[in-house]
Amino acid sequence: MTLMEVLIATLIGAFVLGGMLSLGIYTTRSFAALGNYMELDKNSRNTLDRMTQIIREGDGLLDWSNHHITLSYHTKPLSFTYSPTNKTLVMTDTNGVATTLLDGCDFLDFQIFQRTSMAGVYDQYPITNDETVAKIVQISWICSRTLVGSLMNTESVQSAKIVIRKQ
Amino acid sequence: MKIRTTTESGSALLIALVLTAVIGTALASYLKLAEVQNRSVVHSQYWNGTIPLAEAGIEEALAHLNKVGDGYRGTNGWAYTNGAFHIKRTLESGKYQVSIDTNAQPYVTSSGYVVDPVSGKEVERTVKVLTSKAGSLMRGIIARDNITMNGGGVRIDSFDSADTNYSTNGRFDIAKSKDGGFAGAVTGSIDTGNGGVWGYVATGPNGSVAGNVGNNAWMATSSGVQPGHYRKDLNVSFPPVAPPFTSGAMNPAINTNITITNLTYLTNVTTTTTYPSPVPPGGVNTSVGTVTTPNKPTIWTGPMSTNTAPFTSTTYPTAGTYFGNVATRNVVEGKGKNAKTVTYYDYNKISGYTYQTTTYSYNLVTTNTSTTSDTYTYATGKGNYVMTSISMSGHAKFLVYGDTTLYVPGGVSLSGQAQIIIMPGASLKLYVGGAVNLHGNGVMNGNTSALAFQVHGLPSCNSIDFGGNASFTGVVYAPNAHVQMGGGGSNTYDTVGAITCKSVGMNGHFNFHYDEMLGRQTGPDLFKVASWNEI
Repeated sequence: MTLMEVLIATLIGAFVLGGMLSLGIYTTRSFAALGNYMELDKNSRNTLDRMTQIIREGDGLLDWSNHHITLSYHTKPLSFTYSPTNKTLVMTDTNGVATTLLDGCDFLDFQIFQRTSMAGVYDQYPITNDETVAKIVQISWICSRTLVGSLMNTESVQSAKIVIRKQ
Repeated sequence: MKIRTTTESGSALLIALVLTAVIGTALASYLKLAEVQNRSVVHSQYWNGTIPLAEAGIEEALAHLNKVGDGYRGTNGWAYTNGAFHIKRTLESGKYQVSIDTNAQPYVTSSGYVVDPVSGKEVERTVKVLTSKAGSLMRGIIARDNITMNGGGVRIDSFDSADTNYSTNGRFDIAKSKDGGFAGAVTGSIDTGNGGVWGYVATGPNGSVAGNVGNNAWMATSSGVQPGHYRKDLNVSFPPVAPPFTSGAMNPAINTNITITNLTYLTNVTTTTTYPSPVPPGGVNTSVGTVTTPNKPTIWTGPMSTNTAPFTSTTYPTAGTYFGNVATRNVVEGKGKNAKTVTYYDYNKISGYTYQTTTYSYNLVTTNTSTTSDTYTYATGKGNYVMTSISMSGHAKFLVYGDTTLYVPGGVSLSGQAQIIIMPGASLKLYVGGAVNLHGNGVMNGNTSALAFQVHGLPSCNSIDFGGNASFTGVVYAPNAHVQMGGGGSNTYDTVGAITCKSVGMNGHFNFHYDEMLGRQTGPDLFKVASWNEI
């Protein structure tokens, strides 16, 4: 085996090993990102499904702000509170037990709409600040995840308008 | 033959196999992740998709309930099994199964089913709602547009003709008035002028209120709108009025002489010691007292005490005139030869008897009957009648002496001294397709109930005008009509009932008294959802 053959073999081997290494790194990062996004999506979807189910069945709103709502749920208070500092959405159920529904939440906003429908307009329920006449709760949020210290996944805005059936 | 082997060929194969395995594993993992994600998203979508199906079932159940009313629910494909009425429907996106129980205000239970195409499993969610009868549209004054009150301080308040605490003989009594009046403008605003609403007002989101609104205490001492007595979420639907019938109606009698029997009721209080039978309609007042008589009664109720007083006589008391024992005393009176022995009898002499008596007081009603004969321009009794239009002037009179349903495709106009007279015990349901002008002497409703005079405005009825001396007791439901109440002169006229219309203008000396009884007795009587729960 000549020196030339050794150098060529080394070079080819380095390329192959480099390719394998980079494939491994990017595959790992891609897997992590995909898993991250799936968790993000799953959390958002589960949260939305859960909130939809609860708000739809609520008796009515007791308190409201852009970051907080308190429902009367089967005559007991149940609240959802967003903390911009902690970037979490926490549900406090009728027994006072707090559960974090979302984390990594960069933005969350509650809006309420009153129950009197307006004729001749597309968005027929007018917005209100009075929780006593609220018929609809709209919730919007954006969550993100970081990977190796950098912002990696940001979901699009999750938003839903939920009609309180008992109102 | 010599076969040559090299280690390099084996290394290349190994590397290729490893690379293929790594890449293959990565691809398989990606696909698996994508599949799991897809499965999760699809399940969520179909899980949410069951709710519209379940609610479609509730809609059908409510439609069915409102069609059959309080009648038998096992019709139109609804089958009775296991104590409830059931139906199944299959739609393009899934199916629902719904049941109605047998209660008067039933629970409706509806399940929506969707097949998850990924897992092949059926997703089910069930909703249970409690129904109740919808509230009446008869609540004070309800208008689609504006309510404007001008003139001499129009007052809107309420009373309850079915409650003696809030009415006198079923009629409004200012001393018993309630602060349950209501004025609602769905898309407009309310202006009470210098009058007020003794009760509540409501508008839609873009409406406003000017004037005075509040409870009795507020209206007595304050002005403006009392906090809590104005809401901006009024939402009312106005079902259109259809003609009551299409054929088979009679024409009223014209220029006919009718003898009316007038009944005057006189009430006399009667007291007896025996309970009246049958029990008079006004009830019986039972009074328990005591009485003392010198002679022992033959009939009494409860304990009886014998009243006595010490008494002395020289004759032995006869039986029944004393109580207890008789003490005999021999006393020598006089002296010497005049001395004699006198016998005295000491005893408790009965002075009387005290015992309870029960008396019964009740009203006996006597009826005086008199008759009057008059010629009436029109007269209707019990049944369905139709007139193209009504135009009355001068001293024309329209007599309603039975439960009349009158359909007038055109207008109704009263002027001069013309009048519609509704006899006591009779009623008039007027379905009108044109303008209504009730001037002249208006409508004299001989009944305390406002339901005895009902005006139903068809979609083409766009104006109802109460003027002149046209105070009235009745209800108006005319979704497309502007109702104008004017006149009154220097007198203040009391208008009793409820009004539902397009808009209202009041100008003059009017008081409007909402009869709260109407809210309990009238209305579309439709079922609505009172409670919604997922089970």
